[in-house]
Amino acid sequence: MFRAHLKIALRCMQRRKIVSVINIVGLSIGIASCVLMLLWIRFETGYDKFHEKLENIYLIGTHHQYGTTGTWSDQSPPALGPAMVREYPEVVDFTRITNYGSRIIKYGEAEFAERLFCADPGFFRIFSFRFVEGDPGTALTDRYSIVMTESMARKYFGDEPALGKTVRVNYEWDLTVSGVVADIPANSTLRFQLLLPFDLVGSLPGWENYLLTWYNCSFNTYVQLREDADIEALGQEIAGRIERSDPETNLRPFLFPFADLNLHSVSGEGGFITVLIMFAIIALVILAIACINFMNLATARSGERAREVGIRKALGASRRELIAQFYFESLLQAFLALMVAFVLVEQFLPRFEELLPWIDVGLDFSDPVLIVGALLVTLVAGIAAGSYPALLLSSFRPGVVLKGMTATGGRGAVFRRALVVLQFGATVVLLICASIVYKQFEFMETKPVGYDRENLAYMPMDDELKAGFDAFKQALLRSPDIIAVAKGSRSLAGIYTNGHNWDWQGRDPNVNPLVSYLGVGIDYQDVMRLEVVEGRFFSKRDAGGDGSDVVVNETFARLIGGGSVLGKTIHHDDHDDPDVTDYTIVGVVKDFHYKPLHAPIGPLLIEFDNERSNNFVFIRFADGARGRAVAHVEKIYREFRPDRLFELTWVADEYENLYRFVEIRGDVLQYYAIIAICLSCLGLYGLASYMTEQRSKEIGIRKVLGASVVSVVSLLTRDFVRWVVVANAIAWPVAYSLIRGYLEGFSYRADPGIIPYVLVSLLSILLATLAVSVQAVRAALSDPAQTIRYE
Amino acid sequence: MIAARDLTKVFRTEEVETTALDRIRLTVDDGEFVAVMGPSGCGKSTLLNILGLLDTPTGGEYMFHGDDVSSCPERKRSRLRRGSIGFVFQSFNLIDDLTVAENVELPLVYQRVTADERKRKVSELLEKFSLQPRRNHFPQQLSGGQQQRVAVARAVVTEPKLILADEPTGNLDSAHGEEVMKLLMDLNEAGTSIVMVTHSPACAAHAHRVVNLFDGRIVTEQRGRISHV
Repeated sequence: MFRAHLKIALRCMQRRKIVSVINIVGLSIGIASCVLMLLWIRFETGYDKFHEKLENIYLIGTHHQYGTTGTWSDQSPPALGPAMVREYPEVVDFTRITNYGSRIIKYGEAEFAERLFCADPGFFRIFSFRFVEGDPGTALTDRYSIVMTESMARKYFGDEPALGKTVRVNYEWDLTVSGVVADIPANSTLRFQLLLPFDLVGSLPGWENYLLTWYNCSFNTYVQLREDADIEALGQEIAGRIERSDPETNLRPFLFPFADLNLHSVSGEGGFITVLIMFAIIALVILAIACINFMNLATARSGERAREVGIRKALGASRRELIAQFYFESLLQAFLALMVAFVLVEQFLPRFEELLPWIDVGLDFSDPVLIVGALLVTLVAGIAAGSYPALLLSSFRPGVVLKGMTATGGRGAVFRRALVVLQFGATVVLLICASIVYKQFEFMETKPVGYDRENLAYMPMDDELKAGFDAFKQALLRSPDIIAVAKGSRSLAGIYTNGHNWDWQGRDPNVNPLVSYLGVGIDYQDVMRLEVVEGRFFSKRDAGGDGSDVVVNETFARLIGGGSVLGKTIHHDDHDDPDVTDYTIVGVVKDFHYKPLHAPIGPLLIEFDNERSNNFVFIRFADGARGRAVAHVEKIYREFRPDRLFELTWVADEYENLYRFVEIRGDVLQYYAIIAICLSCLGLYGLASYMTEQRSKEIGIRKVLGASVVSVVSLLTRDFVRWVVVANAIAWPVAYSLIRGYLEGFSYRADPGIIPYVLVSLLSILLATLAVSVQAVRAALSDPAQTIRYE
Repeated sequence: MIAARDLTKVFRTEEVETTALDRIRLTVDDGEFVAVMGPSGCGKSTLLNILGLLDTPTGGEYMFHGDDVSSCPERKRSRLRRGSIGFVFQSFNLIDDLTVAENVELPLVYQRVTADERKRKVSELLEKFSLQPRRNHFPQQLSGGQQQRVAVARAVVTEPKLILADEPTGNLDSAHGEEVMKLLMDLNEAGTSIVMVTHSPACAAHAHRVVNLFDGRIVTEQRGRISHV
């Protein structure tokens, strides 16, 4: 029976090539979408699985309460981790981790800027990174040691063993390689290339006291707990512990399972899993669209196969045997589609990895989960696509169909229309969402942010450059291509230094805002092109002052309230400079975005020439002079720091990177939307071919009676287009509610208006009309004598 | 073999009710050859479909081999059809996607006959019907007469007791038509009962009995084989 089914199924496909191609191509695209999704899900759910103690590792996060608002953070005070191991027996080990930023690593001639991380010695006891050289137990115990990955070791030392070799870090420390770990898998939350002992950074001036604080949340702290630890009780204990050390605290710590860190957000809301679920649903929608094509084509040409059903029944086939035969055919096509899908996936994988740059996936046929998953998807597709045709066709009564008494192709017409509506509805929703997500990306990319980010670059300053800054600045300004130069604490693409407990006259006791800090030098306003709305910005006359004059942004000024804030005093006890507690506002700048547009603009305090403002030097270039000007900057830099690496960061690039994820989401959505519309139109084309063929006699008669080509084409297309219009009507509100939810995640969002809806609808109707009318025009132009005679 | 009493078939649509068969009484004995004649639309094919268990009557009683099958479920009807009844149609009704040999083999497949046995029977029959050289051809590659020979071979491959033929020569020229009639006569002589619907008096003349239908009723019955081919 199997061979007989296989034979007839293959011959059937061969004879109806267009339908078979539509079916197999459609299903393979649907299955390929699901397989890609499966690979992605497998990658994301496989995060951190290599850690042996995974289930017992927790991140200590904190909730910060500011007046009536609160924020969630994955960081906790530096003093908490050591105290927990000392005081609570269920805490086995701890490690703090911090990103130490980009520093220069030098070994012999090799010299590169690398990103450094610091961790406590517990790091390698808690996490299971595989050591290629060295001992995980002692790797970070020596203050002047460094651990690197295999590829880093190769970069600096070639094929020689790395252990025991000494590299120069930041031109000041000689660190000995104490361990080399195997390259870290792409799906690891903790990814480092170079890791320094926390102790080394902790010994820097100013850090020792900082590490004893119970309020500065700037490190990730991980703890390993005993198997029997009561997580909730421990959470309460450590909350009490923080309160005992800092009675004024606004922090509430919590223990978050490390295993959940990739997919869930520490706040418990949203997280990456929502994105993953969204794309999984979209992949299934694509598969469903392909299945609908299959069903529609099968039922539309059911008339053709009705006779076969009648004959088989007359010869003694039972309904069950016929159902089995039709399922066999749909499953066969689904499995052929799976083969094609694997080829498609293989071809598309490089582009997929380009779209989602953090992932590292491959078609591994020895992975049982992938194989079982792909087979399951195929089985579901085959059964879903084959069910309706199998049940419909096998129900035909032989006496009726053998006489050709009913136009059996007309059966299921209502169901088919409903499926077309569903298919186009889903497609239109996808298209609208994709275009609006893209619009949001474009909005964020082009939105004026309140400063001029074009032709603006910066570089870090070391102590020597800080000391010789004025000369360096003058040297840079000798080039006509350089317009302005200033010191500053951070790039405006993201300021995350902040604090609360600010006070001023008339403050509502419930208002305790988180104020962001920006430190600047002379000419900063010219470099950034900030707009001052009231008072003044800093200038030469502020040099040598006590630092108590500050500029605030409009948001902060509004909070302080009561008309002009110039000359008003704001008070802060535990700000960095212990000598100054009262600050006088001398100017107000127009609000600008110093954080990604997901977040609203908060109060900002700009201070003049404090310790922080020496971090970086910002340079404003003349339009179109980029290449020449950079060469000039490098030349000057070499004069000042001949032995140092020159690296320049462009603010516009940095800004674009902020919205990478929005762009990625838009890109992936766009791909899916394009696939959906192509599949839907392909299905409609196939359906229209059959419907037109069925009505060929009617068309012939109409033409004999004088119908024009236009009227015949409109007769044939009208019905389909009507259903696509219905699909659009249903899709609009669905797309609207989905996209509204998405846009609510941004404090500053594009107003999509009605245009994307209208354009997508017009596009879908136009494409559907094209798909249908290709056949209709052919039928309308055919010779009526032919069709009438044939019938 | 079969006995129908007051067999009635009414087709209903929303507005129209058509009586295709009106209280038909008909018996066919073992080994009998009955021809059914009548103008288009008189209910010949409807009668044949009901006799062949392809359709159910709306009224009356239909006994097949002593069993009342007038309202039995499709599953039982398909079981009875399998092996007991062979069909020959005017338009041959071969399956286009199957070769000659596969078409002939198909009823045996549904009867769950073993592959070796099927192969043997099919070869035997194709030889007998002079179709052996054509065994791997598809229906579209054959002439009408050859196609109908395949259809007859398929109808007899399970050695049924009853063959129902619906205008078996209707689509054939006279030479091919006679060829097919000869095959049917031979089968009848070997003991197979045949009920044949036909427009052709020449074909009907081969039957033991001719039943004339008009507007769903039997109007006359003639007995006695009129001629031999």
